[in-house]
Amino acid sequence: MEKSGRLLVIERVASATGFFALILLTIMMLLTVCDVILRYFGRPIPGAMELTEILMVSVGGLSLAWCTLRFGHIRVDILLRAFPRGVQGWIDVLNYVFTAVLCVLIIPALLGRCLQDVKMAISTYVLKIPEWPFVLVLAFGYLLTLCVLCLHIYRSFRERQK
Amino acid sequence: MNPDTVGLIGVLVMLAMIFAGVWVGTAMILAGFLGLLYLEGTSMALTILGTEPFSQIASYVLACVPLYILMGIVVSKTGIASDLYWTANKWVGSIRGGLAIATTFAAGAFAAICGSSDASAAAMGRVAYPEMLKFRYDKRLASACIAAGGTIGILIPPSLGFILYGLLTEQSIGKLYMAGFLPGILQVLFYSATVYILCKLKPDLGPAAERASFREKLYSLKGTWSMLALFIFTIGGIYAGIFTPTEAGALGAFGAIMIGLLRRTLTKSALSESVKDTAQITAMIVLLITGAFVFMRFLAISRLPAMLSEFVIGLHVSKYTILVAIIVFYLIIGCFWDIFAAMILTLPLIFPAIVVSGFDPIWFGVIMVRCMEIGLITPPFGLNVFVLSSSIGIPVRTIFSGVWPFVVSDLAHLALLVLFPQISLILPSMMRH
Repeated sequence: MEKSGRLLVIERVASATGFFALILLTIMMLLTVCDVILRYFGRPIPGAMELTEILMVSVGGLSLAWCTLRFGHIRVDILLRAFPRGVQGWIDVLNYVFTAVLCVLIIPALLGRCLQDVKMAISTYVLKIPEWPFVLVLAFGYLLTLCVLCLHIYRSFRERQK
Repeated sequence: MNPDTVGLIGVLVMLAMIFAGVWVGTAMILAGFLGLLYLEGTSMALTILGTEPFSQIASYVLACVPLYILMGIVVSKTGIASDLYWTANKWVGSIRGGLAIATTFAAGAFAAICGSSDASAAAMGRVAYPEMLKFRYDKRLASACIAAGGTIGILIPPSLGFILYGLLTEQSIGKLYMAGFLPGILQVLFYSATVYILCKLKPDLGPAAERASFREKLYSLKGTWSMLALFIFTIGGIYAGIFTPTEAGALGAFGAIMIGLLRRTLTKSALSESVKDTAQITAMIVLLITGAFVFMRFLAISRLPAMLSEFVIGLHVSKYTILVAIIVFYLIIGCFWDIFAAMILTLPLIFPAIVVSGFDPIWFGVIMVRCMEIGLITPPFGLNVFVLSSSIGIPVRTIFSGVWPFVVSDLAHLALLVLFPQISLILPSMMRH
């Protein structure tokens, strides 16, 4: 019970970050609309373009785990369809393991970049917003994706046991 | 081992992973990373892995992806497909095969505000198919014209296919949009002519519907003018150089939501679903784009694309022979692969060869998207056919047996676009920058 409770937490966190990504997506849309309207009156929003860029990273990073939870990534399944369901299940597990390995590689790489950004005080050009928090958001997105993948792997094995 | 040999092995490893069912983005990142590890060492490979996911996603151009997706999904949930069909029906429904022609017109108009082929096929299927059956249209013709009409979605702007092409090849998305516009309209006319000829040869396939008075025709525009005005506003803004494609996407999405809410055709739950679906597709694109750029960095270091370009030059054959070979290649993979996966996997290798052969990159974007469109209705995996089959509940076999005249029409249309590049390039050349 405790274990399934923990698993549910992963789903809840992934859904919550997905929901947060929806809000940021709406903000990104409204920001661009306001910028265009205000530009018409000669008062564009300063740094709107770089705000859109960092919002885009946040939307992408925060929705990654949610998309993984909903099995939303593209795959080519021409050969897969030819296999029996049992084999397909193993192939699914292989896919999750490969993507989990990818996350394990990307997370430290992003954290390394984050530290470098802090050291070099890298920020956006107009608004001087530090870049590292958004690199961290992306790393968090991959970390959560890793958790969701572990959940998928766990569930695949449990289904096999049944 | 030579870097280009490593490049080739990297491509094979990536393809092996993809055919083994690994997500396309994952396969590209892993294969690219392993290749970089071999060629440049651990430090460089990890640096690229820490840089590309952020720098390619923190992109103003990429931001137009979720905005156009949102616009398309919102529009598809507002019932505009039904309005567009009724408008087209009133205007052209009374001629022989008129309801099928109306379907292709409505699909073209829907594509102009939606941009998704499968959404277009599903939406038009629910509206147009029962109506055509009521007038005793042949099931194969009725279903095939809907499936084929849906493919127009990725040629007429806004099109996700053009955005990806622009991102991967560093071409102007605005110009690509304009380049797809006239070919898209021409495609609608080709499909309409196909229906007309079929019904002329076999009148039983599609009898004429009731004639509408001019007043009824004008009244039918009531439900559609606002969305069509939104299309003209956003795409016209790009053409005139007033908006960037990202700004047009934001205005389009916002406008579609406002119109849907004001006309009370968009419910709160539909809006919430639209945003959820948008976030999911955005994340899918994020992984794909990250994979594409990590893999492209690896390929650039391996010099494989440059070697392929040199090989193409060294062939001493006409550049049109190379073009025909590439078109045939895309027509074949279009039958088996998802359009986005096919683009992301093949462009890094094929695009340099196209450039050194002296072809216009914008024009080639149109040709490539057009080839992939054909794959949406051809066996064995024509996506639109499967979507339509599940949407209206008729066997896939019936739809496939009816699509052949449309595939012939597609090939004729493609040949025209290849022979007369001006059709695609005239609008981009007239654009203000």
